[in-house]
Amino acid sequence: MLEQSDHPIYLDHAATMPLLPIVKQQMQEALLADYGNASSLHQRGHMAHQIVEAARSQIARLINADPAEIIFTSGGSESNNTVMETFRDRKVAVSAIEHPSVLESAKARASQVTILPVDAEGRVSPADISPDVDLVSVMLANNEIGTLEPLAAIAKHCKKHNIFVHTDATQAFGKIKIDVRTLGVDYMTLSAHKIGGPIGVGVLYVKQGSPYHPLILGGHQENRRRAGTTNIIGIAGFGAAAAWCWDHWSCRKWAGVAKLRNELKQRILQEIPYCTCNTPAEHSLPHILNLSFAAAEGESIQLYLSEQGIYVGTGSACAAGDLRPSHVIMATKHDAEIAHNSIRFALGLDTTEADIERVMQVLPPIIARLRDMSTIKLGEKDVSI
Amino acid sequence: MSQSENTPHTSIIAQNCEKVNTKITSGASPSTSWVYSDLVKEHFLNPCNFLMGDEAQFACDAIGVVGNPVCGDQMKMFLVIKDGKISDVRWKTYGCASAIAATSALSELIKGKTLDEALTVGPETITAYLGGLPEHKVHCSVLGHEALAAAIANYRKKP
Repeated sequence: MLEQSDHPIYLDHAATMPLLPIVKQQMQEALLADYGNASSLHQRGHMAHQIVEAARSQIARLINADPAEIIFTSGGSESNNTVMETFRDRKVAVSAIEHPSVLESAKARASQVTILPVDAEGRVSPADISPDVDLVSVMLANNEIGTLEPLAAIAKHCKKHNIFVHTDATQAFGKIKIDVRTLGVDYMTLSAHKIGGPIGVGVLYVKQGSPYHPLILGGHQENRRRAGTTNIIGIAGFGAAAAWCWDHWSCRKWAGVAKLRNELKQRILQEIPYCTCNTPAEHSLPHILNLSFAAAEGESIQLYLSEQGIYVGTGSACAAGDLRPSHVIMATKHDAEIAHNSIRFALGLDTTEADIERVMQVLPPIIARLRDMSTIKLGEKDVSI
Repeated sequence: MSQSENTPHTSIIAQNCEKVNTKITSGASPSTSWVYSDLVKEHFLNPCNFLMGDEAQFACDAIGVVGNPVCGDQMKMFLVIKDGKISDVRWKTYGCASAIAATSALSELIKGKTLDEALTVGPETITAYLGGLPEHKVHCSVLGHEALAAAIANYRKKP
């Protein structure tokens, strides 16, 4: 039988990142402090207000925004929905590989939604953007396959035609350097838990002067842009995570993860036949590696790996709530089997050479076993690269 | 010998299953962290009666197939029939954990049964035997009985 490791190997950092120790500490401090409502004028309210404003500045500087352009939300999905609410009954273009909170909220609100096609690597071409749309929403980096979109070029094209630009930077945030000014975007979605902050808090960056309509009405919070009593503990955690990224040059650290990611890729492609790499060789986040294993279904691979203490993601329909295979891999590879058979490895800053070694001890026999069990015969369809 | 018999998995392949006594040989996560029932997990990790290696090497009387890889699930049943009874059964499955477990469970449920008895084993029987499955999984992963029905129909069509 396969050896059990002493510790689980978490390779699902794109789903959520473990809380940073400094984040835990600062959230605990905020919890223990007798804070008030950040809107109250008395001392306790003022203390809460200070926590929130410090976090706002810490997040703003990380993307070169003005703190006044930062609106706290409950997370990435709310931020994305808020942008679409602002463009209700307008013409919107979104990429085919956006997060469902962009795709579905656009379809629910816009008068017309254009789905921008992507190439085999997942990249949008600015030339596909029609001049008559009001908003374009293209993510900065894809969460499933790691593709980096040519956002600056897209924004430049859009400005020529007076089109507003939103980017969901949830996955890219903290991993690559982001500057809203040089990118030239009007709206940007961020989430705390993808950078080691808590789940349940996010940000929408809204460039000064851009159209805005709140999604949640009924309060003066966030300068009347998002009603609801301020989530002080969550925001304290978000601020701490953003400060950690700034202080530790997180983008440089993440760039270093590419070496291990590339090693894992090379070893899998060399040691396991009939694999397809779904992550582009260039233009990708440093830590994401998405591969498909012919004839072996993703959920089964995921659960066999989980039994061995290795945690990964999959684009298999079986693992999804709606039983549809990954729309991202369908849009890039146009092949349901490749989507069903896909596994996402998302490395972390603490992933080691030994972790990669253990994956390579465990993964090949799992794939061999599932292929032995499978009705699909290898080589009947050309899926190798 | 199939390739997999040389892999480290050999020891957890139990071809003649007595699930009551079968121990799950690995367990990094406690059963509470598993989305499926313990019995589904057991049939997934230690499936019974799956056809190892090249299916052409297995001498059988009837074959039936159901499902489509495009949909994410496909099952194939191989029956050995003697005196009107299923004396042996093997299967192959491409699919998720519940598809593998459900086909494994079905193979245990029909062994030794007459063809008519075997045809009465439906999704409800399989699901109940496994101690339940997530509702959205039942219609796509519990398909083995259709492959069985196809195999029996093929057998009965034979001159």
